[in-house]
Amino acid sequence: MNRVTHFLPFIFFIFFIIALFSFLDKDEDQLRSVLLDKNFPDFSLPKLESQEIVTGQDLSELPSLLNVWATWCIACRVEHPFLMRLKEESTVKIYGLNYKDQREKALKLLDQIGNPYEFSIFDQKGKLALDLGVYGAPETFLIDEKGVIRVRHVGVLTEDVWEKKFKVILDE
Amino acid sequence: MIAEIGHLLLIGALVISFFVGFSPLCRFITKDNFFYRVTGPLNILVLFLVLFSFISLIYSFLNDDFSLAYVANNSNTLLPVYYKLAATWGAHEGSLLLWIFCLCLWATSYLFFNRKKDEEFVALTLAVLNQIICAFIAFTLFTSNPFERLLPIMPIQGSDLNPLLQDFAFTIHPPLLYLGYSGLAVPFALSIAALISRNIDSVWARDTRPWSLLSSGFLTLGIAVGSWWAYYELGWGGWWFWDPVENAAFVPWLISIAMFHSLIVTERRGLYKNWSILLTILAFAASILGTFLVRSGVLTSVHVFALDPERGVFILVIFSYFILGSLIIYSLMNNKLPGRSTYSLISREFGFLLNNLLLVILAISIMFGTLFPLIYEAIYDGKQISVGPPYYQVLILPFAIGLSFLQGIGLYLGWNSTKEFSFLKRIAIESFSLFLLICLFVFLVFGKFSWGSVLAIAMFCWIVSGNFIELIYNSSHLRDLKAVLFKRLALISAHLGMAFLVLGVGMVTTFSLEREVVLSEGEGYQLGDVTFTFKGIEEYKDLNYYVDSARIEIKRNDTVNEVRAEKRIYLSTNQTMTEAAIKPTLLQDYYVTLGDHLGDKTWSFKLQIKPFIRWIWFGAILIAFGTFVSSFNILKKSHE
Amino acid sequence: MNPLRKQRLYVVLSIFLGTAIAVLLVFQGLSKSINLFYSPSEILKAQIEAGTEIRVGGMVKKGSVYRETNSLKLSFEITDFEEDLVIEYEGILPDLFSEEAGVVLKGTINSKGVFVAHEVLAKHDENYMPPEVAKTLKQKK
Repeated sequence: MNRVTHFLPFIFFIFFIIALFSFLDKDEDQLRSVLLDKNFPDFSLPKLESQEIVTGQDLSELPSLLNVWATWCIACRVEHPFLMRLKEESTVKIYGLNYKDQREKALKLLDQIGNPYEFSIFDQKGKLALDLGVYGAPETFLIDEKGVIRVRHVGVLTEDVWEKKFKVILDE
Repeated sequence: MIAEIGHLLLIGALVISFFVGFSPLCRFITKDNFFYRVTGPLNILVLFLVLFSFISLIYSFLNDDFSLAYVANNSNTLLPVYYKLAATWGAHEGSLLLWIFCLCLWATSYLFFNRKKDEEFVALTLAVLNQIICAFIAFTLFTSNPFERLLPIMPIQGSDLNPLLQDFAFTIHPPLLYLGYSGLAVPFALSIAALISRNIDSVWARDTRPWSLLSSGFLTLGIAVGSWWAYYELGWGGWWFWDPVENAAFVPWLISIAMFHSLIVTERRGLYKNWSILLTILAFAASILGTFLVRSGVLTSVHVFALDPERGVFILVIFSYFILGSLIIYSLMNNKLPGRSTYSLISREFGFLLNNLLLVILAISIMFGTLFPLIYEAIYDGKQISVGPPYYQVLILPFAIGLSFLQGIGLYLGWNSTKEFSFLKRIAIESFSLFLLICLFVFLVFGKFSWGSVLAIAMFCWIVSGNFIELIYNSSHLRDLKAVLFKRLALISAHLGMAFLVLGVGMVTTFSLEREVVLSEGEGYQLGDVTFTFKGIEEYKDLNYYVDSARIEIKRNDTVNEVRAEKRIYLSTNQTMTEAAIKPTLLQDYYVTLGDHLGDKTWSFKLQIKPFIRWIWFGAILIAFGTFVSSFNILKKSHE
Repeated sequence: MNPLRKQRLYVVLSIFLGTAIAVLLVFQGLSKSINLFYSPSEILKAQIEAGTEIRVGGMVKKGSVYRETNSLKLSFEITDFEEDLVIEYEGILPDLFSEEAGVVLKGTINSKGVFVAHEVLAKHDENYMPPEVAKTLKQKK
């Protein structure tokens, strides 16, 4: 009898830990499922480089990547060299989504470190980002030739992620 | 270069703490006592490795080394030197390193006070502590490395420390809190060592108690400073939000208090051994769980800065390893504990039992409320709810009453059974006369009453009579009195602190006044016994922010004070911050927050009067002082 | 009864009593303070009784913020891109409140279908939406 009661705290904590693990998992799945395989949302926002208004039609060269970035985003700096390489080596066009940023700062930064984008959409209020359900920067979306979002990646885009998540879809 | 050295030192600490953690196992296999002897010196080596690693991170901050991602994210060349230092532990990665450093400090001070004790026992304790150190260093290195470089391209300017954190209280809040959190690892390690070596006796209880007292004291200070910070820095006059992060500190605090009370009974009477062991495990579990809740992003809270499921998984793995591991050891090793003496219903033993029950049940209920939104979401498939402050308020009141009642009479209950009941009558008379006096005073000052305040005053008087007045009454000579007061200094101070805390909380929740008003320049508003007048507004630029600064005159009878309520816009992050104007007095605080600009020279303001708010923090300081005195006394005694 | 048994009885009884009181309080507390979260389109479907305290969240519509001069009363609309909801509020707005940003509001629905908020919550970190809002907005896409 006494032996059994001594195991009670252990058993209780096993259930407790299982419960905690189950709380953790959900978010990641939801992130993936909500946006995938939907059409790219409509928008009309100015370009970063000029005041010219761009819409969904201007993302014409599909398939393409849309990369969310900002000057305040340090992690974006990490993936920047890889984006530059991608511009050189891959046929996929990269568009930028400059997120909650200041125009002068952003342009100055691109001047300094190089511009991997065809052009950047200037989304100061985070409007398009909201439609896309952007969590934060950096984030990268792959839009296929029909204008459908196929891949969404939250966080830094690396060689490894590119091979495993993006390349596979592109090769189809 | 410096950062790489820091990184290497941390890796070194990882390896050595791993070795220390498993050296008793090596001793068990090889039967070579070398593995016991080596734990002490190696433990000190780990302390120094972590210390220098931490210093190298501080160095990187002071020198604006923005090639480190962590520095770039949390500092800025414009930041004053003082806050650059504080920024080292201002975010997740650095605060973890601080946590580890605190734990190393605890392990080493344990070693210092027990260096002449039984070699095997000390080695076992150090091994458990070093396993914990090792696990958290691994967590730091693999999921949140502060020494990660941003190469080849690095920013010229950092992105700044969150302006909310550029503040004096915030520079000391995390170290205090982390000393408390990580201190709970020492009683835990002592329990595991005692379970393995099978000697859980009153010597063990006495050796464990100072560590639980110390961590309890640091938790008290950490929580109090955090509450003080929220009060003046968030700018809206709140001092406790029942936010998940606050609960994550409050729950271990409650359990640590239960723990050192239970250890008293184990030491004196040899009772509640299982319970004391379970409490040490529970307290440590609560402290890691706190880290999990804060860092995994499973709960949303104003305090959460890092949201990262991967970190959550890692912490949960650490949690499972230590808690399930220790509970397995508990269930296997702990089935024959000798020493059962009996006691009657009205006895000190039973008083301590009730104290423990109340504290632990309260802690579990608060934890339940904190996790309930997650449970609800899981059951009702994504339906989202929040559990607000009313839940906790309903919960805490009966427990506070019960605990206050016990505090008043606890000292006069006898071990085994109580034979003399005359104290009851005296305490009742003493507290009632004190109650009448204070009520009269409060009525004269505030001119009103409410149920809550009467209750708070009653609890205050009951505790004060039991822990102070009755002690004076009992000692007939002055010399006698001095001896009693000195001998019981720790107890008196901690329990009086509790009384002030209860009074402060009760008064500020029932007697606070607040109004949101619109004022044009020169206009005044009367609230309570004072008039607030908006005298004018200025704009200027400080080192790293723009300010709108409003001058407000607070006039009470004939005394006039001028204070400034500000709105700051930080340059590098474009964040707005409200800086409240506070005029503190002994009995109440006058609190003004600048709102929105509504038109020409017209602004909105939030005016508040907060009675007795300072007494809450004063009480907390007394409690912490009491725990420190008590633990030093025990440590001194056992060292002689 | 022998003293050891008696003592055990006391202990078990007090644990039982303590737990019972706690459970009671937990239920009472939860019934008082659980606030369900709704998005504007869910509110129309859910038919919430006037006077029940709930939380709603969405994005503040551009150009919808209307302020009375020289008073703290204001109204605005929030949206989840499907339905809009009119909000009335009296008081000072938090620092992070702005048009086209996410907000969470606490309050009640009145008989006219207007949401009367008594608390406006905005998260401290400006790069993130309040998570509930982000979730509902995402589900609408």
